[in-house]
Amino acid sequence: MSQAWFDGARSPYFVLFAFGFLPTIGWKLGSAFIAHSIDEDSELFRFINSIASALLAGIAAEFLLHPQGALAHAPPVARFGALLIGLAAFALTRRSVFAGVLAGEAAIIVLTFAASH
Amino acid sequence: MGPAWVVAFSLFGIGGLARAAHYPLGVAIAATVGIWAGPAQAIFFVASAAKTAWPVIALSASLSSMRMLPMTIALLPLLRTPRTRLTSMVAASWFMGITVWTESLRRTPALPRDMRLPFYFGFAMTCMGVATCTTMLGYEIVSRVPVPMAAALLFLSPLYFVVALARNAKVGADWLAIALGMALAPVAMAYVGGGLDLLVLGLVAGGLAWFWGYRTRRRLAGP
Repeated sequence: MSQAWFDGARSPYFVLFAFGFLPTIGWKLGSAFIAHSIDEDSELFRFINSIASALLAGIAAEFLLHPQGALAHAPPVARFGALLIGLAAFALTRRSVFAGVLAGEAAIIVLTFAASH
Repeated sequence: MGPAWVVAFSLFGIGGLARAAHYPLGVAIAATVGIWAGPAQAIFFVASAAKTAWPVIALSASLSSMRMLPMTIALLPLLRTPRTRLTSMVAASWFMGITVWTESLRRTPALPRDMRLPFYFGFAMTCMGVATCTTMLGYEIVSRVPVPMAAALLFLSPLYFVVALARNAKVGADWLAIALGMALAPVAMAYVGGGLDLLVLGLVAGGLAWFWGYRTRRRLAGP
């Protein structure tokens, strides 16, 4: 499987619709029809949530390892260093997401600037 | 409308990701309005730029949106009156997102029942409107600002997701899922071919973390 069967053959709008929109809308629409509540303490629900968390963390790591665009100008040590600085700020501020993001963003700007000069 | 800016801010970075993955602006906007979930959008743009197989992208985006189901089921009964039609509920479910859900769950119980759905649609549409603007803004400015600023814009989504995952982590298994997901990502990218890397990564890292949590729960509940 690769993207070759798709590339150049179909519009990016079709791709978004088929592989982005349809797979995500089902969960929302489905819930409008389900009368009874599903069990958030079931092992199946925990298992799928665990996969979803690992996937999201993995996609973040993948983008930091092989960044697109301008982030590729920041060396790997700057990308992962800024992430660690953001997490440290988050931990030091009693789990404030805002402080973590702010510190990480400041760090990536400074580190990228320093690396390109 | 403070919380509206939280969504707006997180989709600002997604606009940049869409440009970096060479999608047209219209697709970036359609993704915000149609998918309306930062994680699924980031997976879509990042994974398609990384040449992941399309069925795997679809499955990964779908898994990341699964939490919408219990969230929506928990909120919709709060918004409903005996006269609310199913079409209103279906429309309401479209606008469901983390921030919209959190704010509505916090504020609607204090409102009279017939005011809840109007509040919900007003708030959700404001969020979507502002977020659509910031998606466009992120897409347009990422190629026009100095390199450190553009890098910061693209860095926004991965940073936000990792910190937000850490914020939501409650037990050891949650932390393990995050740590394994990040640590095993380069291994999966290097050794799993055919565009299946994300799928294998999710199953192995998420599965191991779940199993660890399962054994912990079993031991605590033990004889």
